[in-house]
Amino acid sequence: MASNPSFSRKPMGKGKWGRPHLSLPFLLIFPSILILSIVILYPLISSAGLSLFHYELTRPDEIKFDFLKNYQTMLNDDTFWLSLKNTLVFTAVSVVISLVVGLWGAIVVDQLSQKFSWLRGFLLVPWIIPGVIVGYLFMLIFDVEVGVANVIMENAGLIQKFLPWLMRADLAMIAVIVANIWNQIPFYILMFTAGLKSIPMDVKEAAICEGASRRQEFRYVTLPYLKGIIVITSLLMVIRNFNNFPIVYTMTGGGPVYSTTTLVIYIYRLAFEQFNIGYASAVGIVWCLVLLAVSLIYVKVLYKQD
Amino acid sequence: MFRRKKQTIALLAACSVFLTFSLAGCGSQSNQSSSQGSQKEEITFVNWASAEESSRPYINQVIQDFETQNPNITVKSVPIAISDIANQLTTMTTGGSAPDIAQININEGVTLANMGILTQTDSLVPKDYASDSTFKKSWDLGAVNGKHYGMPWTPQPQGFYYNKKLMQEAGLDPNNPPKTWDEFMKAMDTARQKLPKEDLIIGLDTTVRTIGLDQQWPIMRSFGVNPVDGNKVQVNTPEMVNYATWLRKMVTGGYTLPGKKFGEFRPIAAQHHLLFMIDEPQFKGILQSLDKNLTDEAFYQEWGVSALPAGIDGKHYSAPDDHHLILFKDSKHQEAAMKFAEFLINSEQSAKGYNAKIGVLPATKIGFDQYQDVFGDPVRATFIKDVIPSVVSLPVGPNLPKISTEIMTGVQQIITTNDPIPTILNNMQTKLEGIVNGK
Repeated sequence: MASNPSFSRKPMGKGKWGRPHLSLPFLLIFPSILILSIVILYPLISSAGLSLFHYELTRPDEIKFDFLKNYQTMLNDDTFWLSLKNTLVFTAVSVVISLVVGLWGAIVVDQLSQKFSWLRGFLLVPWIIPGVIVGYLFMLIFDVEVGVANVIMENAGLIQKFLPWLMRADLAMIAVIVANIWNQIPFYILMFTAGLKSIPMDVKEAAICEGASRRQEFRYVTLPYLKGIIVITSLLMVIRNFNNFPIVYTMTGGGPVYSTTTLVIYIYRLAFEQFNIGYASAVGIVWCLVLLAVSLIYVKVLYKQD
Repeated sequence: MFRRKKQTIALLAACSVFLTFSLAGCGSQSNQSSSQGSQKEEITFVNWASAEESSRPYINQVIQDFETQNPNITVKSVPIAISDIANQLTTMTTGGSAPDIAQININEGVTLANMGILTQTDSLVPKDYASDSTFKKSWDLGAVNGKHYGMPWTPQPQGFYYNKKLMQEAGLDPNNPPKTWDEFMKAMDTARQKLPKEDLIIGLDTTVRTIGLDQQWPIMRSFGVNPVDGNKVQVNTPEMVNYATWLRKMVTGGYTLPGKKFGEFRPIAAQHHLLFMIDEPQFKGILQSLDKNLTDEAFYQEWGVSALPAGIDGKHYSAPDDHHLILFKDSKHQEAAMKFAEFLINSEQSAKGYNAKIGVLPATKIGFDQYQDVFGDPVRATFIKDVIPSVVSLPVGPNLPKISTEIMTGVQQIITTNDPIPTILNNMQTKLEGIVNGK
């Protein structure tokens, strides 16, 4: 199809030495780059610098350059490794379960008749609730005394007596992940529903006409079309869950002991409860590097999709 | 081509200059307002009193009274939640926008004093306060290396509340509360056997917070443990094993609920399902706010208060959760801020309009004696007479936040796991030694 000549883009002119003119695009993007540099790059560089210092706010006379001492300390810090493990568990379990349930939910939503189309909007409610509210909500749901989770499970015969969900190391992480999944599933449903809408109907119909079962149609038609969205959505959510602070902090504060302490919680506690800025910065830099690695994969996959 | 490049560079420069001036403009605006304040000063007061619904009208009225008496001073009240105030003050101060005066918990005040951001108040506090028994006790507890910073506004030590009706139901003598820790433990065992499951025996704060340690500290001391005394750490001792065994029993035996803040036991107390509570003077006022039908008479029929049962050394212990006022070194209105602090500490408007209304003690014994009409109730009389003298300090100093975290993490490990107690305590000992020795 020929494009409308009035909307066609003019070829970019060549400047001296054959390089294209970038003046206008660069000019337009410059304020954003400047602001982003101030807001993101400066704190990052500043944190990297602080991570090389012994810097405790409560000991202003003992601030000194300590080079890699904080990173050395980190290697022998059990709490750091536990926090890293917790972050990975929290992220992996949240993303995998949300993805599966979200995909299932999207297929259901996609097949809803006009009569039930209002459900699509209703299903998004958990996604728009702020993390802190979700945290408080589930803190009450899992409360040992008045929590509805215990009542339901006891009535269903799953437990004999009320469990202290948020005060048992083996249960607290489960409770926090359940809250997180509840909060995030709508996002997956939204993304996958959009993906399902983009699958050409004729391809689906052709598969059915060729005698493919519903399962085969899903396996060989729907899933390949959704692959790109699944990869991008899951990577996006990996990054988001690495950063997840409000739900965990509101529900457990990282406890009991350190059983739900993720890296962001640990950094917060080091910086704002113990005022150990140097060490908190070092942990922050390591956390950034891990996130950066994940982001690079994300960008790579994104470009591959293009 | 060159011309175009020049234009681009000129435009970029113009953008930068514009941004720089925009940012600088913000600064100059605030400077202007402070320079205009030479006639009428504005002081910034960071506090949680105006963030909480129960105290907001009272503090606002006190501020209004102060402004009426001092027409040249305006108080800009900045409400911040109690749990965030230390962080926010740290951020504000390190960011170069320290307030003039703030309300702070005594232990967090010590932490801020260690950061070197507070004004020393030794020479600012009038002599009659400095020698006042109530004021001096709290002022000294918040001292750092012998220097005073935080000025007591509402002394809030921990007293021992007992529910007389539940004691009677449990077969205990409601007019004879436990006087020693041995009697106390026996009473709790008896009550646990007699009272139904929905009645809790004791409200214990087992959260990883300094305020959690505040409540556990006098209990540890009653068991004969002083976990951290200067550079001396002693948590792997038989006395600490006794404390830890008792604490584990409290949770596993259904005497208390694990992981709760002590404030979370107050609604249970208001519903008449809590037997013993270690709490502050405002306990009565809070219960009355939770149960509008609870009159003074009904409260005293149900509840009694005393100092905590005496420990194995025969001494009573309590820890301070006092609210102090702090002035900031970077403040440009030190004099006006101190004038406001004095008004909050010692004026009739503040004592009667704030301290009395929210159910706490006055800042001074002079105030307590002077305004007996509002402070002469049995709860506050007991706190002044029996509880305040039993207050001991937490291990205040630059390490307090880390020490609190370590001890309370150990406490959580005791109550939420089946790990052997000696192992937990040995681990705690190693970590605390590392902290106090700067490793």
